[in-house]
Formats: sequence, C-alpha cells, structure tokens
Amino acid sequence: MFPTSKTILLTAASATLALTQSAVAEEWGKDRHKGNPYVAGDMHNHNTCTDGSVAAGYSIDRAVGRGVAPAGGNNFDLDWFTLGNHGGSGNRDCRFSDTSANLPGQTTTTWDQTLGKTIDGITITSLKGTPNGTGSSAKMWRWQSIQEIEYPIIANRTPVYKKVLIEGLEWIAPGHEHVDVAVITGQNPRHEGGNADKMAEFEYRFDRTDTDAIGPVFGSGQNQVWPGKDNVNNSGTAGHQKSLAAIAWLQSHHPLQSYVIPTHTERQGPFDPSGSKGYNIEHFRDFNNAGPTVAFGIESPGHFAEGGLSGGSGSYGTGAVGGGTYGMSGIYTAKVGGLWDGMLGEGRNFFIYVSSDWHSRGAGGARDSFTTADFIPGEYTKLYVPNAGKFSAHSVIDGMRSGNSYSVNADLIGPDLVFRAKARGDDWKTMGETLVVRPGDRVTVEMEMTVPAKNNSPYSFNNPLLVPIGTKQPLNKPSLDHVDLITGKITGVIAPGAAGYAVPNAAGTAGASIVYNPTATIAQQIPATKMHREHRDGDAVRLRFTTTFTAGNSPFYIRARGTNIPVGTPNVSDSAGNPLLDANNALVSCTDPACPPHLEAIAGVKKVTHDVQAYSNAWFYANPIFVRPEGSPKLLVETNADLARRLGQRAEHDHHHHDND
Amino acid sequence: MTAQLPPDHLSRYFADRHLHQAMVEAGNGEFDECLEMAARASQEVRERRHELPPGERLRVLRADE
Repeated sequence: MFPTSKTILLTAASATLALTQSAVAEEWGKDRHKGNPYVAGDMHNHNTCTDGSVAAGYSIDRAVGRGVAPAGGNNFDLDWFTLGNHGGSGNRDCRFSDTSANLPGQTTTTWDQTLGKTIDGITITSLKGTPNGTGSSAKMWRWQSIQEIEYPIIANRTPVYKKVLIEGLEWIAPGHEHVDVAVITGQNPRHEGGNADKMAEFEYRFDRTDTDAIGPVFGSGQNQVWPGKDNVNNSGTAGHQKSLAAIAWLQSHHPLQSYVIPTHTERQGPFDPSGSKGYNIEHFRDFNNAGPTVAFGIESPGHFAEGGLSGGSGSYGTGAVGGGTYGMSGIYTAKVGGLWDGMLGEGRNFFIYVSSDWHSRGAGGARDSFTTADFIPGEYTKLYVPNAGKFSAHSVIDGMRSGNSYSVNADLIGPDLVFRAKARGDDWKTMGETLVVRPGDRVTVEMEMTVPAKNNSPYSFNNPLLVPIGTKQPLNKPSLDHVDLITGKITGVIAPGAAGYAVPNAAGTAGASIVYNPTATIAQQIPATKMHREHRDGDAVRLRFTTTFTAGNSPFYIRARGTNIPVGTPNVSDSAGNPLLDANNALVSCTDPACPPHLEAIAGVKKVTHDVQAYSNAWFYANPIFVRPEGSPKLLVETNADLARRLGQRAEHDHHHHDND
Repeated sequence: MTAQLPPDHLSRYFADRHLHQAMVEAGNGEFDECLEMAARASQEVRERRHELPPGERLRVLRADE
C-alpha cells in the first residue's frame, strides 16, 4: 500500500530528526504550509543594501506574504526565506526601494540623506568602520547593515508572517566568485536579544570586498570587537587559502549552524590562480574537506529570465564554463558525468540547491508581471527542505545538510516529492541517505510527485519551444514529460594532490566536454505517460512509478531530474534527453499573438527569450540516494552525516548540562 | 550612448535600464557586473533587439499607478 501523506511527512523529516539542533530549537514558522512534506524557500536574493532594486523589507513581504501586495504584484508565500545579499558595502539606504522599481512613494535614498532619522523603527546614527566614500557615495559596510538593518527588519517581520526568516549572505569569496552563506548562531528573531553578530563577523573577516580594517569597536572606541582580520590575501591561490580558512572557521565555530554553498559557479569561467573568479572541482573538494558539515553542495544559477538572443540565462555569458546554461542549470549540474557526478562519484555529501538571485525585473518594475532579468523569490524557483515538526532556522540548515531536498523551477512539481529506495524489508532510504545492500539484491526505487495545476506564469499561450513538435502546452500549466534516473559508480574519495583530484577546466563550450565521472549515465528514463496517474483537486496530477535496479559489488548513487521537454526537441534537448545550450532556445520564434513585447526580436520576429524562455524550459533536480554493498566501508556522505549527528548530540548534551547548572 | 536612438525607441528604454543597473553595480563595488550591464546596453543600442510593430507597446507600471 502506498504511504499516506502522514507517512510521507515522516519519511521526509526522518533525516533531520536525529539532528538535535532542531529538537532544541523553538518553532518559528507556524504559518508555513504545515500539511506539506517539504517546505519551499529561497536563500539567495538581493535588496538595496547592495545591488538589488527593492527595500530589504519589501523583498521579504513579496517572498513570504500571501495574496497581492498592497501596491500591486503577487506575493509568493514561501515557507522560509533567507536574505542572501552580497558582502562588501553599499551606498543606498535599504529601508527604501530604488526609483527604478517604480514603487509608489519610493525613490533611491542614500545613507547621507537618512543618518540620525528613525525609519521603520531603526535609527542609524553613523556609518561605522573605515570611512568609505563621501556624500551620496558614502557606503555602509555590510557587517553594519547585517547587524543594524537587515536583522532588525527580519525581527520586525517574523512575528507578522510567522515564517522562518534568516539573515544570510552572498559571500564574495577570496580567490573565487560568490557563495551562499548563513550563520544562524545568535539569530532568534522572535525574541529580543537575538542578533546576527556571527553572520556579520563572518562577512567582516572573510568577504573580499569588505576591506574595512576596523569593524565594530567597544570601550573608548579603540578596541576592535573582531581583531586579527586578514585584509591582504583576497585573490588567486592565496585567496583560495583564505576561503578555506573561512570555511574552517565555520566548521570550528558553527558546524551545525552554518552553510557554505557556492553559487552560479560556472559563470566566471575556470579558477584563475592570479585573479578572483571561478572554481575548479579541486576547490569544491577542498571546501568539502575543510567543512564536512558546512560545505556540502553548490547552487544552480538564478537570474532565470536574463536569456536573450545570444544567451545570458542565469547571467551566464559565453565565457562561462559550458558557455551558458543548459535547461536553466549550469553545466556542472546539467551534464551527466559532469562535475556534480564527479563529486558524487567519490561518495561525497555534495548536493544541489536552487534560488532566485533576485535583483530586479530588468525592464519591468517590481510590480510588473513580466521580467527580463530575475524572478521574485518563490515566483519561479523553489528549494524544498523537509517540513520538520518544530520548524526553525535550524530545520532549514539540517534539511539542506542532510541532502533530503530538491530544487524546482516553474513549479514543475510540488512540495510532496517521494524519492526513495529499498532492498529488503521496509527500510526505505531517501535523498542524501545510504542504502546498504547485498550484491545481487533488487533495489526498488519509488518516485511520486504532484504536478500542480498552475504555476506563476502570466502567460497562458502554448509553449513556443514545443510548437515545432506539435505539442500544445500552456505556459501557466506545468506539465512533466519524463523523469531521468541517473546513476554513477562511487569509486572512493580522492586524496588532495592525488591523480584526478585537480582537473583542468575550460571556459566556454569547451568546458561542456569535460567528463568527471565516466560511469554516470541516464540509467532509466520514465515517460510521464508510463507513470500511474491520479487526478487531484483542480487540475493537479499525482504521478507515481516504481522501478528496480540490481545491486552490484560496488557502491553507486541514483539521482533524478525531470522536465517538460521531450527527448530530441529541436533547439532544446538532445536525442538522449539532455538539455542543450539554452542560447539555442532563442532560435525558436514566439509567434503566438500573445507573445509579449519585451521579448528580443530579429527583424521584428520575437524569439523565445527572457521569462517566456524560463517558463518554456522547466526542470527539477532531486538529490541522490546512495547505495553500497554490505561490509564495504562507509561512504563519506555517511561519515559526515555521522559527524553531524555526533556534533548535534554534543550540543544537546551541552545545552542540557547548561540547563541543569 | 542611448541618445543614438529616438526617445521613444524601446531599445533605448532597455539600454537605459541596463545602464541604470550598471551604475547600481558600480555603487556597490561590483565592477565586473557593472561592465556586464554596460556591455548589454551597448549591445541593445547596436542591435536594436526591441523593435515593435506599429500599435504594440510595452506596458510598464509607473510609480504613480
């Protein structure tokens, strides 16, 4: 008998129940969607504290609010939300939206205009640290806006929305590009006395664009709260070493209260030993080695509506590794046998996440239904983590760390994915977990998902990418064509410096040819038409299939992805169903009379670009289930989960011991 | 740069939006992204990727709406 929704809920939450940080945490998210096995969030987005277009509070309102915003524009009702804004500094007062957002009563406001004024209950009397610009260019260092602007705004809104709000960061990592980070230690926005000091300290100490040499002070004003900053080694190989020191700092001080997730990792091309950009696989291996319970994955690019005639979706130009996105993912994730499979082929706890990278709507204002740049958090991308019983910021991080999470674009599937495997008995293992089998065992894989009745697309005309193959599929109605089950062998952890640890990388389409795990393959492809189909409320459809694999003598993993794009769709997917370079989508015309005027055109003929492209080419990615033979050594994903469990038990013991003092 | 196009040309509007974002990025110290946005503006002016047939227009909500 198939599990009831309550059973699914327990399965989804099981991986986090053992992590005691959740158990001791107070529930924050009472108004989340409690009936869903997984809850949706976003951890990477921007506001006017850095280079976003809207106020910090406004971005929260649109992401987690319900219904329609007071001045217009849909809210997106996320269950949890992390402000993940750049490090460095910013000259705009982020209690105000930028003029370009076209919001009533909002004009670009700089810090020099508001010092000493109380706005939204917050008074900023001075710009602290090393002076950084004058007049309208006077900038506030991000450590200050984290402490004194963003966190207080989170504290103000948490009781309003009763959802989990977290102060995070898009860390501009020394030697590299950008990285999603959160340090939740001290954050307790439901109560006075909480703070984001540890998040701010991380930003001050380790962000390469935060060159402030002072930071907060105490006493007579001469004593640094955070002394000993390395303000020198910010680029190239030395910068990479500083990034590793940053991750080691998190692992040492906040091993269960932080994460480090590099983002849009292909965008700037390969790592440059004398510059500050990109990553190669050895850097991700270094990260995971330095932070086994904090550096556990990478993020797909956001900026999903930026695609134009010459590419650009995901903000990826032709110089990105891979030369652009593939099915709205970078090549590290999208390629079977690519970098992600290389990491999984070692048995690492290395998972995939997605977020919006919301800055602006490009040609549109914040309330317009169209976008030529980014989607608002929750509008297009959803990162699902288990809906733990007492949901809190710890639950978000526990869920991400466990690997029991999945990433969805365009609401292709909903919040109730079941992806699990078993061999004998009823010992199901889900994403991020390891199934122990005997060679020759039949491994049963079960997958069940709901395709929602609608997504947030403002367009109801038929998907222009599918018109050439005669398929009529309205853009605002999600449709799943098939699911790929991708397997790869696990051959063990490669030691630093050993052969294969570092792999030459390449910019552009040459980077798409690099194979990191030659055993990875689309082992099974299950058409939606072959799945058990059950209609739900409205036009939603519940799809289910069960299939089997035979266990061999060596460990392997099974990951899943799904899409609305049929195999061999011209300019979209190849004959095996892999996504092609998304720049090819713009070769297809959008000829429906309803095709909107903001699409890029050639000789007056609109092409599949921007948000129409994003809704036309929809994918989801589910993290892997690991399988290994009985008696074989534990995989790194298991030993690192064990480490997290021990750290959690120790924290719980310390907490209990402290309570008894 | 955008003055090369007529004031009501849609590509001029797009290019101006790119340039605005380029200035925002510069104000935030994000100079790589500043250059990227400036390049997009230049490309928009050069290639006129947004030319609408007579009667069609891009509707953008104004702040006072």
